[in-house]
Formats: sequence, structure tokens, C-alpha cells
Amino acid sequence: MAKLRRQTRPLTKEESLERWQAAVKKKATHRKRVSLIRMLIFTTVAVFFAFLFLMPIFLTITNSFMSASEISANYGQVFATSDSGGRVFISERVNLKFIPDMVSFSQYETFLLRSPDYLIKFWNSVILVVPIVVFQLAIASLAAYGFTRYQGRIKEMIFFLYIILMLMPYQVTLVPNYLVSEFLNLLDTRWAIWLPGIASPFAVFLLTKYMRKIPTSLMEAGQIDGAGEWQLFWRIALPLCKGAIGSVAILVFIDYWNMVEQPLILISDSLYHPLSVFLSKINEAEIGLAFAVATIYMIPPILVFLYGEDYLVEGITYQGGIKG
Amino acid sequence: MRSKTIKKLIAIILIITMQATLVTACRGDNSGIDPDTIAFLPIYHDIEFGDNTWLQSIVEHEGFLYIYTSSWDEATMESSSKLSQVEIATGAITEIDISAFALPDNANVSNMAFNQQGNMLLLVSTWEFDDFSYTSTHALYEITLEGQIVSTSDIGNVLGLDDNSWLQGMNSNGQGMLVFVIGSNMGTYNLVALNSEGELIGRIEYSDYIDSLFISADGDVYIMGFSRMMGSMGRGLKKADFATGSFGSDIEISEISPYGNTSFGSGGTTGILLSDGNTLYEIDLESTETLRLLDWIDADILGDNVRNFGILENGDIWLMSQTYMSQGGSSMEIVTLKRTTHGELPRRQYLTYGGMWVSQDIKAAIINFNKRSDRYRIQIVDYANSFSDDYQAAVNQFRIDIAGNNSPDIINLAGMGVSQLINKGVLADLNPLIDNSNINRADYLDNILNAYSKDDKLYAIIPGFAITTLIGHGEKLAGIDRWNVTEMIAWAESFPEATLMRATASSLMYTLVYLALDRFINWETGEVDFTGNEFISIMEFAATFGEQWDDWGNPDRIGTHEGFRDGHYLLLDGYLYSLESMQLNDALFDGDAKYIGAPVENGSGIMINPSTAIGISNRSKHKDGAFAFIEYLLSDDFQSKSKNPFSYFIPVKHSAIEEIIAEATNVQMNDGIEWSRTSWGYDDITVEIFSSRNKEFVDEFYRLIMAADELQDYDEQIINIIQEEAESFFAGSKSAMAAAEIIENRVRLYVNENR
Amino acid sequence: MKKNLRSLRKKSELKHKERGKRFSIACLLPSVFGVVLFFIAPFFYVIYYSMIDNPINREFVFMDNFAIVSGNAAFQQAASNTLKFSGIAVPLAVILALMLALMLNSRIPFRSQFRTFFLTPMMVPIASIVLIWQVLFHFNGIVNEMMLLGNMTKIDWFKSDYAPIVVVILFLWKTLGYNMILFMAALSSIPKEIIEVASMESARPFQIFWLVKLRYLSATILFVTIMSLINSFKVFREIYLLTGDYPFDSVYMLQHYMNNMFGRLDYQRLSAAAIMMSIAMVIIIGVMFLTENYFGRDIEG
Repeated sequence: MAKLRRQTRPLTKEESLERWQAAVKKKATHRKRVSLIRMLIFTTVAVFFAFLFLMPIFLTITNSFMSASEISANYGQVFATSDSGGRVFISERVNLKFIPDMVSFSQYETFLLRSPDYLIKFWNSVILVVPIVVFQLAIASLAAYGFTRYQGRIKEMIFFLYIILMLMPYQVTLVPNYLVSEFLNLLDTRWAIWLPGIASPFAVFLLTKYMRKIPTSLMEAGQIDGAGEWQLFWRIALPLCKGAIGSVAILVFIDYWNMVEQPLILISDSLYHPLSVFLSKINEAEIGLAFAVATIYMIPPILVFLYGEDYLVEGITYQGGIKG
Repeated sequence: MRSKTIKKLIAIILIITMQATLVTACRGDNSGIDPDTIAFLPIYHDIEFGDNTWLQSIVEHEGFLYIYTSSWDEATMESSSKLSQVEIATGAITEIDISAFALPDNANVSNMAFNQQGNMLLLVSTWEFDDFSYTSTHALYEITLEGQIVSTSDIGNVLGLDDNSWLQGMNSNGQGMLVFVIGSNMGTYNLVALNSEGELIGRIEYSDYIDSLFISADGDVYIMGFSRMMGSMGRGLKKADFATGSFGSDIEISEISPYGNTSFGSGGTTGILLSDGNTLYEIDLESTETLRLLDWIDADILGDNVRNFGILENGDIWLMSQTYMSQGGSSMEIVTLKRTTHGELPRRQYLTYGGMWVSQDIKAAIINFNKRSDRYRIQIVDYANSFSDDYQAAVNQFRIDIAGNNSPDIINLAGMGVSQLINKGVLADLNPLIDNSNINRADYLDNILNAYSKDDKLYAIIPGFAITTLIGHGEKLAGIDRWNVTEMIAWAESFPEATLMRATASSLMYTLVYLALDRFINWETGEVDFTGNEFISIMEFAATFGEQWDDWGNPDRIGTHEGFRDGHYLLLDGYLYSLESMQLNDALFDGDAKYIGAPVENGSGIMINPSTAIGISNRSKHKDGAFAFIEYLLSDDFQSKSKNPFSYFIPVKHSAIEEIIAEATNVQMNDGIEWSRTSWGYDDITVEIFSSRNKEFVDEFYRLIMAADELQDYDEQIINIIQEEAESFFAGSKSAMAAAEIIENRVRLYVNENR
Repeated sequence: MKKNLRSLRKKSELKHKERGKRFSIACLLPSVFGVVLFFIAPFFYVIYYSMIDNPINREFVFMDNFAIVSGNAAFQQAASNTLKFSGIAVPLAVILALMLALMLNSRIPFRSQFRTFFLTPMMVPIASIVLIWQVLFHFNGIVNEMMLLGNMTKIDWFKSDYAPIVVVILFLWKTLGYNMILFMAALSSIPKEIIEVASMESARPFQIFWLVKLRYLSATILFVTIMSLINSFKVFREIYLLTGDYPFDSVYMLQHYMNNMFGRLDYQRLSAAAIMMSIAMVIIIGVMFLTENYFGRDIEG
């Protein structure tokens, strides 16, 4: 803190007010000049970063409109597969194409129309992810309410446990999941993915933090009005959390849309695999399709994101602070 | 207060018990099959058809099978024909006297049917061969069941056969309707239907090959046709519409396996049966509903051998199966499967056999074992089949099962990376089991029997195998009995105009590096050396081979024989499983074939290529039953070629080998001339195989079998790493040293992880 | 009279409280049940697994597995790589995000659009992006092309000691957006009056930042660090997609080790490694909590 400036004599009210206003004005003009330059610099930097962030996505989409031969021609060096039997032209250097030479829908055609495989996998992804999102949030909102009201030491310990669990990487939690699924004979069924996903502590953690910010006075007011506990939950706490629930739902969706390890290990029949697993395999096998598949795979998360961005940001806004 | 604590306690107990029951209820039931499920008990009818008899045609009618056979009598050198009537339910045979109608020698009865009067229709085809082509005549004979000819007609005219077409087959539905399949040189097939009066109902053309055909009692005709348009499936089931002269659209039956052949039978509730070689279904072609009746193998039947089948009025299934013996000829069986329930079947202990791709010989062995054993019954788990499109996933699941609680009792370990499994203790030691049994170790090839042993414990048995080795000119290989990689490369470089072998850079790495990984990796210390001179020189040598296969489509391709004769190539990758193949190799090298092993550090370099390697899971509760199966595999019934129609491998039992050699060297003279056993072609050369010549190779054959000591069981992960990195070197984008450094780094990581 | 009323009210309040407590416990039950069933209970089994030698013999060998694993050269490499990576990537993610957030907080146009752009990398599934990444950093890829143009030698990005750089860039690409938003939100929630007062006291902007804003941000910084740490572990998936089971040893992470143990069905080593990693995580988190407690003490309230 800057030290208080020494004064020769105390200022009168008017004088200090004058000085205050003068100082503010001076600062204001100074600020205006500086802020213009600053704005320009910052904007440029922001644009630069935005470009960097968006470029790979943009490239994936545009490359999905290239025909398979163009892809091998340009990226053959990178993705050289030894099964390219016939004479395939591969250029010496890798050319990164922003815009395809020839716009072709062949990738999409093969993907969507020729073989039902990919669409089946796409629906697998949907079927696996949606129930997890719905039910994890349902259970999590209940649990968050449980953590918020009447906090006690035991609950704090359990909450701490949740945090630890949340931070464990997949490989650590996958082993227990596998053991339990084997014990319950759930391996090779979708339940092996659903149940651990629904039980995950991730959403509980985020929602609890949000709910704890709800002023207790609101709850007490509801109590005085004669509301029972369930109604407090259903009519007061839940509606207030709408933003958070939306934001957490989006995060959970993204997380599970991307999952690769769990289906690989817990479900052996590749018929049930989601597209994420398939995509990771397809990159080696059929590069000609990979871009289109990648683009289609991107669409649901982006849609979810665009629709729910406001929720997301609002939810994130209140997430700062872990103990809060 | 107290009541409150009691309440809490009760609540807690309730919750715990609820959770517990929830958990246990979720456990699936994996203890076996429900005793009320329908099962079929096979009853075998012993029907002797005699040696040198083959089946001409067979038809079922009202509970009887009519079988037309011809036999060749060696003594009198004459052929004779027989028409037998078999009562399916009892197996009683009567012979129908067909002396009344004498067929010329070159005629054969290709199809039989019944008409509405209960008389039999025989389609008799006669083939005349003049110098240039075949001409055929077809006649339709109608005979009574006493063997009296009612009428004959020249069917060729009615069907409109000409020089460019031939009669493929005739089908009927027992109501007198006849449908003929006519093939033509244009590649199209025609379907011609005649009603019971012999009048033409209709004629439909099909653009491709018709595999099988079915006529329902109501006269609906369905074909299973091949369609090049259908992509990978290639098969379509269609209904024939004679009114419009076309076929309907494809009927989709999803349960049918896309591989293999399908055949139709009649009977059952819908009247139409379909077998895809593995399973028998009752299908309703209108609604495409299928009812899965049984898997053939559950009734100890090898589904691929079933020729005809159907369902009798009482619900029992009948079938006729034909097994072709590897020595020639075939054996036929007529079996009735009585409908019963699983609980009624004789009680036996169930074992599982697990493998990737269960081969024919093992399948047949299991069926035979099941038939003979009254204590055990083996069920097959075929991993590759259950993961139809993902081989790697199948391998992973197989490995996981072997190591986990779900392990099959009997495991086929061939190619599975056994050393890791041994380290985990999942395989049982077979030595004590052998010692306690009647198996005499001296009866078997020592090196093969003990191939899968480590530290005095035996982990798998090889019942049959082949040998892989390298073959070259004796003259060029003079003085060399075995070699390692550097020696082989030096030898190759001493012949500058020739290429070592037909290979690509990657395939050569297999031969040179993967069999000799011990040179570069020290598993004890974790030291890995790929950047030394040796590995780099090997990579550079391999790189001279390029990545393009010199394959059959290449017009400039040098033929195999030409390649060796003219000194273009030095070595051939040889696969040996019989004496005959040695004759072929000899011809390829103009009589100077020398067998030398792959380049290895120690040992002969001659590799054992096991067809199967059978191990027992350490967790199995039925080790004695599993071992009984191994005993069966080591017994004469499996080892001996004369008893086992599926033995295409070299047996492990001495007596069986001697039997093969005796048979192979048994010279048969005909009018003072020895006839060749067969002729084999390879690329640009054809060789007549003679029994007398086989004698020359017996010694070498024995030498090779006895010397084989390497198992092709290598560490796939390391190979993958080396392949991946070497590829960029072969493609020219990296230097050898750069690629080698990466290889060293990654392999070191792998070795360290697994030490 | 009054006394009776008060005690009555207290009683009804107590009743409310009792019911409320029970209800809140009931709310927790489904979640806790799931967590116990799928994570906690089997974790004990994992501990058991780590202390036996063999799923068949089940001999208790206590610490042997831990000794084997920690002595294993590959494991040590993996641990050091993971530490190094997280140690570099996470602070970078936090600091860079903070700087960008500060920047965006000042008045520039199109703020919300920028916000959208920055969030997209998080949304896009990684498998979709990996392709382009490979094209960029492949030995024959774009970045190397540009280096050739600039007269530098080609670097084998994925298969050399430079590989962690690529992974760090990829990680930053993914997480900066999310972190930035968090910081922006936290920044906007700092009460403006204090800043005004500080600037009136002629405190320089830097001092304002360091002494004022940081205190308010401490809780957020902790949160962002933890989330970034979580995400830094998830980066395994990216590395796996780019380089496979056995990458160059500079990017061989603990998750690789565990994944491979899983594939080889070596449950003993896998369990031992998992437990060691969990213990390390608990320690790290504990330390972070304590630091946050210290810094943010005067803010809570």
C-alpha cells in the first residue's frame, strides 16, 4: 500500500474534492490516450491468438472436402500407408492446403452413404454419452444439495475424498472400474460405461461449489414460509443453479464425448464402440476418410457449445475458488 | 433415545442387505445352460457303403432317403450302381432293384426327384467326349419304386439346351414341380420350371451364379444367387416370379453368416430350413423371421460336411454328411437328431476350448472326442469369429480371458506370445500329467514334444506341425550347414549379380532381424544396441530390396523356376509339410536343392511352424478332462493319416510319420508303368510327383524334422517398433543412423518396462 | 408463557433441523453409493492386488511390487517425464492465461467473439485435431518445411527430445481458453472500489496488480491450477494418438506405463503404480490447499 502523502496542512472539504476531481480528470485524459494504443496492441495479440486457436479446426473442416487422392498427394509423406497398392502420386513436400484444389464430397459420401459402420458408431457415441450426462447431473445436483446443507466434518471429509478422486487420471480409476464391472458381469455391455460415468464425482464437485454460494438467507426465508426440505431443493436451489447445471452438463458432455480408454477396455465388441475410439483407429487405416469423420465428430460438441455458451460462461464465472 | 438407535440400526441393516442383494442379483448366471432348452441327441445309423463308392445323388421323400451310388470294384475293374432306400427313423436299408433299366457306362444320375404319383424321376446325364469338347445328353427317367421304367423323355429339348449351355441341376418339391438350373457359357444362368405334366411354367434368366435353390410345397421357388453387385456379401436370396419372368428383390436374413455356403432343406413348421455351415435355421421367407434350431457342432456334427438335411414329421432332424478322406474317397453318415431337452442329455462335464480361428482338423477332433467321451464335452470358443472385423481386438480379448477368470480350459497358444503367459503362471505344467498317463515319450519326436518347455516345465503340446526353412542351390551353399545374419549377408554379397530372395525390405527384416533379436537386446541388463554396426548394416542391406512386391501382376516378373535356374535369386522361403513338397523344391532348383535354416545365433535355424499348440489353463477345474483331449490328439486316431481325414500336417508320433513315409514311397505300378501320384505346379513349373522319387528324400526329411528347434514365437511389439521406424528409412526420408537411434530409444523403453 | 413459546419454537426448529439433516444425507446417498461401489471399494481391492505376487498363487508379498515398480527404469523415466511436463506446462497454462485475461479485460472490441474463439479448442474432440497436428509437426511436415526455408535443419518433432515441446503446445492450445475465461470472470468480480482507492493513493498499476488483485485471485489461481493439472494428465490421450504405445522416451508418461501394464495384464505392477500415483496426488493437492489457505485468508468472509 502506498504510504499516505504527507500534508502541510489539512485540506478543507472543498479543496480535497477539487483535487480529487482534477486528479480524476488528468488520469482520465491520460488514460484515454494510452488506452487507444493499448487497445490496438491487445486487439492484434488477441486476433493472433484467435487465429492460432482456430486454425487447426478450420483446416480439418476444409480438408474434409478434399478427395482421397488429393489427400494422399499432399499428405502422403505423413500418412504413408503401405497398402497404397497402385501408383499413387505423393508429392515430395507436404503441402498444407487451406483450400482444396477441387472441392469434393467424396469423403462425406463414403462416410455417410456407403457404409453403415460409421453411422452406427456415431449413434453409439450418442447413446453412451447422453444418459451419462443426464443421470450424472441428476445425482450430482442431489448430492450437491446434500453437501451444501448442514455441513459437518464427515461431509467435509467425503467432499475432500471426491476432490481426490476427481483428480485421478483415467488409468488409476479404470482398474477399479474394470474389477467391479467384471464382478457384476457387466463387461462388454454398455452398463460398464454408463454406471461409472453416472457415479463420477466431477459434476458433484462443481455443482457443490456453486450451490454453496447461494445465500443461506434465501433458504431460511423459504423455511419460514413453511417449505419442506424437498421443496427447498426443487423450487429454490435447483432453479438458481440452472446456469451451473448447464455449464457442468456441457463440460461433462465434452469429457465423455472424447472418451477412448474406457470403451476400449470395458467393451470388447467393436460393434458397440463409440466414434471416438473408431476415429483414433481410422487415422492409420483410412486417411482418406479421416478428415470428414473428424469434422462430423466435431459437430455435436460445437453445437452444444454454441447453444450453451452463455450458460457455460455464467457457470464458469462462479467457479473461481475451490473452497468457496 | 434407545428406540431411535434401534431404528437407525434396522435402517442400516436394511440398506446393507438391499445393496447386497442388488449386487448379487446383478451378477449374471454363468453356471451353465438352462436344462429346459431344446437340445438334439444324435443317433448314428451305421450304413456301410463299401470302399470306392461315391454318391451320385440323394433325395428324401416321406421319411425315406433314396441314395444312388456307384462303386468301383478293383478286382474286376468294373463299376456298378445301386439304388438304396433308407428309412430315416430306423436306419433300415433296402435295395431297389434297378437291373431293369441299364444305364450306359458313361451315364450318371445327377439328380433325383419324386412326382405326385409317387414315382421317382431320375435325371440321367450322359457325357460324350470327343477330341475337342464334351457333348451331353440328358434324359428324364420315370421309374416306380420297384424299379420299373414308366417313361423316359429327352429333357434337353424341352429345356432348350444347346452347345453353349449345360444342365446344372434339377430340383423338385415332391409335388411334381421340377425346376432346372441351366448354365451357359455367357456366365448367365437360367431357371426353367416345369409343372407335373411336364409343361413349361416359365423361364427366368439370372445374371450370375446360382448357388442353391429351394422349392416350397406350394410351388414358390427361391434361389440363393451370387451377385457381384452385392459387395462383400456377394450373395442374395431372391424369390422367382415366373409370371413376370424375373426375380424379386433380395431378402435380407441377417442371422446367416456371410461366409461359406448355404443349403436348403425342407420340413419343420415353416417348411423351409437353411444351414450356413454352422447353424441350422428354420426360416419364413415371407416375413424373414428365423428360428435358430441348433449349431451343428452342439450335436457333434461338422456342419460343412452336411449334404442334405431336413426335419421329419415328429420333429427330429435328419441329415446326411459326407467326409472326404485325405487319402481319397469319402465316408458317409446318416444321422437322426432326436429332439429332446438339455436336461435329458447324458450328463457330462463341460470344458471350453479357446483359440483364434479354430481349424477344421481341431474342430473334427473335438467332435470326435465329444462323440467318444462319456465324461467330457468340449465347447468351442472361436475368438476370431466373434470379432469378425477386428483381429486385434480378438487377440486382446483372448489374452485378457486367458489371464483372467474367464480362461478356456484348453487353449490354442500358437502365435500368442507364450513367454509372457508362462511368466504369469497361467499355463499348467504338462509334464506331471504326461508322466502319470499312458503316453510314452519315446513314441514322439523329442524336439517337437518339448518345444514349448522352459525350466523343465512343459506348457504346450504340438500335435501337428510344418517346417519352415530356407532353400538354395547345394552348389552355392557348399560347406555351409547353418549361419547367422552376418554370415548370410556376406554369402549373399559373394554373388553380386543375384538377389538374396524375393522380398521387400520389410519382409526381409523378418527373416534377418526378428529371429535373432537376442543379438541386439539383453533382457537381463536391459541393454539395447541398435546403433552399432551390425544392425545398421542389416538395415542397409534390407533397404536395397525396395518396398514393392514383385507380384503376379507384374508383366516383367521372373518365374520362380527361372529365377533360381538362371541365378536371379539365391534362396527360397520354404514351407515343408510332406515328402511331395520336397520333390517340388528339388525341381525348382534343378535337382540341387539344399535345405538350410534361417540365420540365427544358435541352433539349426529350422523353424517349427505349429498348426496348433495346445495348453491347459492353470485355473481350469477340469485339467484331467483337458488332458484327455490332449491324449486324444496324441493318439493314432488323430496322428495317423489313414484315420484322420483332416491331417494336413506332419504328425508328432513316430509311427504316424513312418506310416506317411511308407505310403508316400509305396510304388504302384500299372501295366509296368508307374503312375504319378499327382502333379503340382508352382508358378512357371509343373512337377509330376512319383512315389519312387519320394524315397530319395526320406533321409533329408527326417533330418529336417529332427533338427527343427526354433519356434516362431516372437515379440510382436518390438517388431512393430522396428518396422515403423525402419519404414521411414526405407522410404528415404531418414538416415539409417537416425532411424536406428529412435529404434534403440523406443525398444529400450519397452525392454525396461518389461524386465 | 414466553419461555414455553421459545422452547416450542426451538423444538420445532430442532425438528426442522433433524429432518433437514436426514434429508440432506438422503440426497447424498445415491452419489455416495455409486462412488463407493465403483471407485472406493474396488480401490481397496487394488491395494490388495498390489500386495500379492500373482492372481493365481495370491501370496502376500507386501511391498515387493512397489519396490519392483519404483526400481523399474521405465517407470522412473515415466515419473520424471510426467513431473517435468506438469511442472512446466501447468504454470505456463496458468500464467499465460492470466496475462491473456488481463489483456482481454481491458476495453477491446469483439470481446465476446474472442471469447468464443478461445473456447473452441476445448470443445473440439482431440481425435479430430490430431490429424492436423501430425501434418504440422511430422518430419516432413509444415513446421519442418518452414525451418528448412529458414536454413535450419529438420527436427524430428515427435521422435526426439523436442517432443515434449509439441505436447506442451498442444496442451496450451487446449486449456488456455478455459483458464482465460475463469480468470476473466474472477477479475470482473474484484470489487472496483478497492482498485479505485489504490490508484488514488498513487499506487502504480503493477503494485495494484501484485498486492491487490492477486489476493482476490488466489482462490481462482488455485482452482485453475488444479483444473490444469487434471487436464495435463489427460494429455496422455493426445500423446497416445500421436505416437502409440511406446513413444520416444522423452514423452513416455506414467499413464503410458500404466496403460501398457494393463494391456499386458500385469495387474500387480499396475496397481502398485496407481497407488503410488494416488499418494503423490494427495500430497500435491494437500500442499496446494495449504498455500491457498495462507494466501487467501483475509479474503474469505
